[in-house]
Amino acid sequence: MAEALDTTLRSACRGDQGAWRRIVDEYAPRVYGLLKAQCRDAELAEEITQSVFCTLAVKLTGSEGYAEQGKFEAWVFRIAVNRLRDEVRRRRRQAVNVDHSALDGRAGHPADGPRDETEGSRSRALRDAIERLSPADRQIIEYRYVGGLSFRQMADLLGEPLGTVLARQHRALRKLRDLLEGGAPDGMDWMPDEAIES
Amino acid sequence: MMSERGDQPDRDPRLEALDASLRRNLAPGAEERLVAERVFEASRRHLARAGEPRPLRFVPVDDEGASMLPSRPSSAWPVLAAMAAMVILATIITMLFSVQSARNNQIVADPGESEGAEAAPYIALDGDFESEFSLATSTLLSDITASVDSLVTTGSEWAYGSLSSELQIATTSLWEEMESF
Repeated sequence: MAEALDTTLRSACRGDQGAWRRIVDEYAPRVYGLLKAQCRDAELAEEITQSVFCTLAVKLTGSEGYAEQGKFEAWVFRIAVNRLRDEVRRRRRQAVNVDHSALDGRAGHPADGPRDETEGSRSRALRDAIERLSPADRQIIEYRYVGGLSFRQMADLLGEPLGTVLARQHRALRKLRDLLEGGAPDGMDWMPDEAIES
Repeated sequence: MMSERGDQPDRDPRLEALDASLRRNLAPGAEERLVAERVFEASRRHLARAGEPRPLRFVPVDDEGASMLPSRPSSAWPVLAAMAAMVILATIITMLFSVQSARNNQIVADPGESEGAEAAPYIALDGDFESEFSLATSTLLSDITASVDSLVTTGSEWAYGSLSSELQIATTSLWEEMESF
């Protein structure tokens, strides 16, 4: 996969439109999904996604070129997340309003094809439960399942040790499971971060 | 609890089921793919510019005004120096021709105003100087041509030194020729 990405990137650096399309198709949906889940604003998320990929296109074909060293995916998401943070700060926008349509574009969306009632119901319950998580837990879930990032990439993006990220994700999943099963979050302090990091 | 390897928590079937459900439900859908299509259309124009000529860039300078760009390869400087010398020489020759031409025109236009002894050197100079000047110039150009040929062929600093000394000798002799008149 890494070799395929390297080859695709080399082709894109030479202006190959087909290679560029493969890169956009692979990463743009995930970048957009993550941004939209975080800012709850589809228009802003798309605007930032476009600016990120325009920047990438310029950088890849620029005079300095680009040498893939296994960091491309993290680089893309870092640009996106930083740009969203800067934009949110600039607009003084508080991303606290719950907008259930934020996740409507996921696989559960009607545009993806008919789904049975049970699955639709499960999907709605899942989204509702995610919204009830704390911002920190929701962030880790979104990075992992919407952005499709690896734990290592998440650790890089969040600036936290890998063990902490693993523990945070595990804790968020358990809270989510409890919410889905109807129980209140049990304050899962079953594993302090210090214990993970040590 | 962490596993013995310390890299992931112990397995929990219910959490694994939830993990699978999240992957299925939060994966990019139709809306994301539609946005990706628009992103591609917007960004491809930037990629299309890859083959276009680069715009001129400002040269970054440090606090003391020195260029921060890498210096040119050392092999290029003799050629540039030779080109500069050629331009300077051509300017000198053109200037000399202009001066001589102006003097000749002045003599031819109003020979009656020339005052005997003072006019003679100019009249004598008219013929002798031109022939000497032409000879010196053609010799000089011949030497320069040979040196430049050598410079281009070998690209050596020796050839540049040769060209430089040829220029100095030829220019000096040219001035001496002029002064002798």
